[in-house]
Amino acid sequence: MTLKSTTALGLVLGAAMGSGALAQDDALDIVFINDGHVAPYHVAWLSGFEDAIAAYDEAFPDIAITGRWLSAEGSLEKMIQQTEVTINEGPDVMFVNAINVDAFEPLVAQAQAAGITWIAVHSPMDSADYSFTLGDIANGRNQGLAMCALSGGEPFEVAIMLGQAGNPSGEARHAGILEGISACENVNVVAEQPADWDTVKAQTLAENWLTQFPDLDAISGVTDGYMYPSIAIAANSGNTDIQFYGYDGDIPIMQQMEGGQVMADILLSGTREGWNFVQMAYRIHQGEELDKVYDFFTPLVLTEANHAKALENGFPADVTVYYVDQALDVAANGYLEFGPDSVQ
Amino acid sequence: MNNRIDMKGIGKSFFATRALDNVDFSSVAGEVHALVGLNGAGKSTLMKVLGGVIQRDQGVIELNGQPIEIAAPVDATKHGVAMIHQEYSLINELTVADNIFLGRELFIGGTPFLNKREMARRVRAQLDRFGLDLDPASPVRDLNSGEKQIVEIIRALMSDSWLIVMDEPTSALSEEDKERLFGFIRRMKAEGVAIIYISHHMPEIFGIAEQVTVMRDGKIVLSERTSNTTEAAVIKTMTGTELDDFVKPVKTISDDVLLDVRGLTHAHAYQDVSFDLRRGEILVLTGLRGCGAPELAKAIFGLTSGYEGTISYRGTTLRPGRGPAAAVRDGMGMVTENRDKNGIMAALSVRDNIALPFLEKATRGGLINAAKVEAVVAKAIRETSTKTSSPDQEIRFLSGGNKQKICFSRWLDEDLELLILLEPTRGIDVHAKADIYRIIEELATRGVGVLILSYEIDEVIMLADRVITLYQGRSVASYSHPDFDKDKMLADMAGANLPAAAHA
Amino acid sequence: MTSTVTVNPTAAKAAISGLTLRYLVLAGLIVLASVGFSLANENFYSLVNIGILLRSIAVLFLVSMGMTFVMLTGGIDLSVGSNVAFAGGVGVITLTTTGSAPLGFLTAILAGMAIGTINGIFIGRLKLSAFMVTLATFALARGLALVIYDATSINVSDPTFLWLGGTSWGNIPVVIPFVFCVFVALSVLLYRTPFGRNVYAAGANFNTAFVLGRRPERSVVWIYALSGALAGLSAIVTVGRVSSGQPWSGLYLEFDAITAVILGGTSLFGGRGRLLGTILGVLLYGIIINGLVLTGTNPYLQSLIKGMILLGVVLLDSWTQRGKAA
Repeated sequence: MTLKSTTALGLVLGAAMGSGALAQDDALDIVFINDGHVAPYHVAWLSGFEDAIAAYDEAFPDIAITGRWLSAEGSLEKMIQQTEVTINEGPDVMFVNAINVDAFEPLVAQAQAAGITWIAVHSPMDSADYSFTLGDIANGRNQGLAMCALSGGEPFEVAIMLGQAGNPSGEARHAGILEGISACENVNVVAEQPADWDTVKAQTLAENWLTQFPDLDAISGVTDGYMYPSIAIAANSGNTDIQFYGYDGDIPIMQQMEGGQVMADILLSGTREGWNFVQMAYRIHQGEELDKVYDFFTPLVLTEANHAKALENGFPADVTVYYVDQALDVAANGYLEFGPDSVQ
Repeated sequence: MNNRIDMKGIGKSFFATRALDNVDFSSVAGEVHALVGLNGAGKSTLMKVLGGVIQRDQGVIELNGQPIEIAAPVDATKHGVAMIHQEYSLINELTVADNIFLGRELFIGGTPFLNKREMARRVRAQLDRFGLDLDPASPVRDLNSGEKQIVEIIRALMSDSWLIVMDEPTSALSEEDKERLFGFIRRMKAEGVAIIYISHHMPEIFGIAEQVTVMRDGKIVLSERTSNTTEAAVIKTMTGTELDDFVKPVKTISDDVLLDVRGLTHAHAYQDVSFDLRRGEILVLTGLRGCGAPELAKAIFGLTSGYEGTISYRGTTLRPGRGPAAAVRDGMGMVTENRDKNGIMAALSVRDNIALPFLEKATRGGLINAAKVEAVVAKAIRETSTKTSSPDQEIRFLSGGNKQKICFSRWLDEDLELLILLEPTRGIDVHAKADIYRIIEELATRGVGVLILSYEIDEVIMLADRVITLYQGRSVASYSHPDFDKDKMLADMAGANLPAAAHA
Repeated sequence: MTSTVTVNPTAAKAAISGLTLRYLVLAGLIVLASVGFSLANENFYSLVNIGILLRSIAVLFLVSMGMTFVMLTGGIDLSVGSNVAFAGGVGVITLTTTGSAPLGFLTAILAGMAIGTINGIFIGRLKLSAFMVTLATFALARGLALVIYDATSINVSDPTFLWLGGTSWGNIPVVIPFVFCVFVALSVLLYRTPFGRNVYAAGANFNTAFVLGRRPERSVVWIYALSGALAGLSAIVTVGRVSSGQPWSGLYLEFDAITAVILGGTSLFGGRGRLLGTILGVLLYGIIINGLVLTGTNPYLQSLIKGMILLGVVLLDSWTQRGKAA
């Protein structure tokens, strides 16, 4: 706490002198090693991370805040090499979205020996200093509960698009969704299949399902990537009744909630996650005590009207819900929640 | 129609080498001008300058007295100069007429439809004009090499060319096709076409050319009307020395039969051919192209199967199609008719090209003994008097004659018992030819059985201990040294003596 | 044809020094790239980083040496990357079921060879296009890997199995001396045995090699089997490096190997090239790729740079080849 106020004092002084040329005796170097860099979520994530680095560096002139990201392009060998090289360079904080956590155990030890704070991304590691996790089960459950509350009590048929077989995150989300919809009797899962995080496969699935189940009431997915083709196919076939339950908080999907067929979404948002990384690194640097397993704050997104309706139908009042406008705002502007203002 | 082209004082250097040195050369409409010289004398370089393929360093080119610039092949074409290449530039899948009109097709009116009838008519008119019997509608694939050459020339003539350059035009032609080509050349002369004719063959030159020019080391050493000079004089100026005539030594041949072929028959290729070959004997099979001899030789070497009859080698019957590896193991060697296709390995060094069949013998404990290979290679180069700067040189930089010598030199080690040669002197100069004749004779003296296919009657008579003439896959007659009757052999080859079936 | 003699002396000298010149240029570029990257990042020259660099390209060394044999025959092997995944899968599953690391090594190499032999039989015996055949096995081996792994990775903790790919002596990974030994062994095979000369003969002119009784069809089968065996060996190294068997390992490896081999001066048309060139090619390529990571070059650009290197080298080669042919 003392440290923080000293910094704040320095900041005020620096600002008062109208100079950014204060001697920067303090530095924070952050490296983010990701498994890929081309999916829309990745792109938003990495650019959020870059923007946040720049914003923090500007907001805290007494600390030289730098950072960069690397992409392993899905290759474990490449990720290990990148990690080794990065450890050798000795940054302060490393976020690693390990493709296979076991392969990274020796590297975590090596990094810690070099005084680097290791943050395991998404898949928690006991050995890591921190694990940045997504509440996949809780989020999935929220999506399922929303579906129950908005299904209207009549018999309700839903088909679910899953992640790649064996992918832990996809399976957790799937389990959560099933848990949520088990809260009511009327929702019936008529089909579920993996679409391998692939938009084209999702398109094929959506086409098949809409033909095979003419009475289908909803399509649920473990990523918003599946929603784009599903919505387009339903629109093309003139199906205006079917509902969509998304996951990820992609802006174009959330924009189709007000007056549209998308009923609920989970506000991950790559941009937000990127900003949250930098905020987290900064807080660690300032000596703040964080939970060893840090859950990314991911509220459910509903329209205000639907939220009211859901509450009437027994949706739990303690679930944090963002309305569409607010969700769109924070998804586009990561600094609103995780910017320098959030820690000053 | 009295065009003439004059090249004056042409000079060209490649790095330090003077490839053309102050060369004057003219070609006049209605005449054949023969250009001769050993490989490397500068003939092709001179023609490449004329064709715009390479640029001269000095000199002028004049068309009818006016200087012209030939900076690229397209300029040469514009001035009516056409090069006929040894490798045909025709598209096999198209017809004769399509090939001739390729790139300047005729259309029906303003439509995008080809006027096939008109194109065929015009081609036929040209063919008639030169007394040629070819169907404009037949696909080029079906033509033999002589006919393809004619199509190329017709194409050049129909693109308004008046000067045709032919580089070794008869090297791949049968006697029959050669005669037809000469007839065609005479008709072209009569029609006012100028021809530059590059060749090694004296009878051809003195048969059709008005003027002969000899080049040596990038210079003109002789330029005369053919009526004012002789074959001997031309050969002498070509080499700079009097070329000793190769004289076949008298020798006795053992009775030890190495190869015995009985009733060999393969549909469409050869029928009921029988002969034997003794150790130390040179047996030449001859005939026209299509006489079946190359196919026969390949069957003996184990390259083909599916024949009837038997081939016995060293007293045992060979399994059909047993493959060249088995043949080589058993002491056979072969020099194929197409050096570049399956004779040499262009990318590899002279050493690798020579040593390849010998490697197992130079291997101990799985590793090659480099010194042993080096000794073999040095010996092979020496014995064949191959000209190469070093065994490391890539073979593709050697001249045709030297490449051919290397194809021979592979087989010179002592384990060789039977050597099969297909057209052993095709497309090489007289010097290299003499060396190759000498090598063949030495091998035979050593006791190697040599089976040769040759289409050149003079070569056949010069080399053979025994000759078998073939006509359309059948053996016609057998002749033994020195009782060779050239006229009768030629008649055999042409099918005139067919009923007189002979036995070896 | 007749004029070539006149051009002979100079052209021949150029041809002899051609490869040597290439190696000198490569060595120069390696130095240049190292200096450049060390200016951009002071960490580049650290012993640790050199160890990381060598370890990261160990697999590329192995696969590229096999690719050199293949490309000397004028062929190409697109299946090596997938084959690394497949062979690794076979090895890891053998290890987990039998518990024997040597048996795992053996089956990994045999599995790699099996794919290679299939390539070789189709290409050498049945005379099919190397590009098409290995494109098919590229998909086939990846599919097999996904099937045997059931699309998920398998963790490996057996220290013997991990030793080759995972252990370091100080800053020097064990795998580097191992790669050097393989290089020496393959050099002996290529330059000192009849088999090696047959590799060149098959590539320079298949027909001639056949007529000379060199059985090029048989050589080709063995050459692809060798490439497969080296993929199997690479699989063992890869598993050791990542402590697990990965169904997606070896992705894009064929691209990197082909680029490195061409960079090393091996002709696309067969018959020309040496293993030393491949070693230099892998080093240069590895330094560039590693350097891009170190200097924090945008990953979007890295793929672009790889593609430009390949295109540039192919263009350069075709120019020099054309120059020699004229």
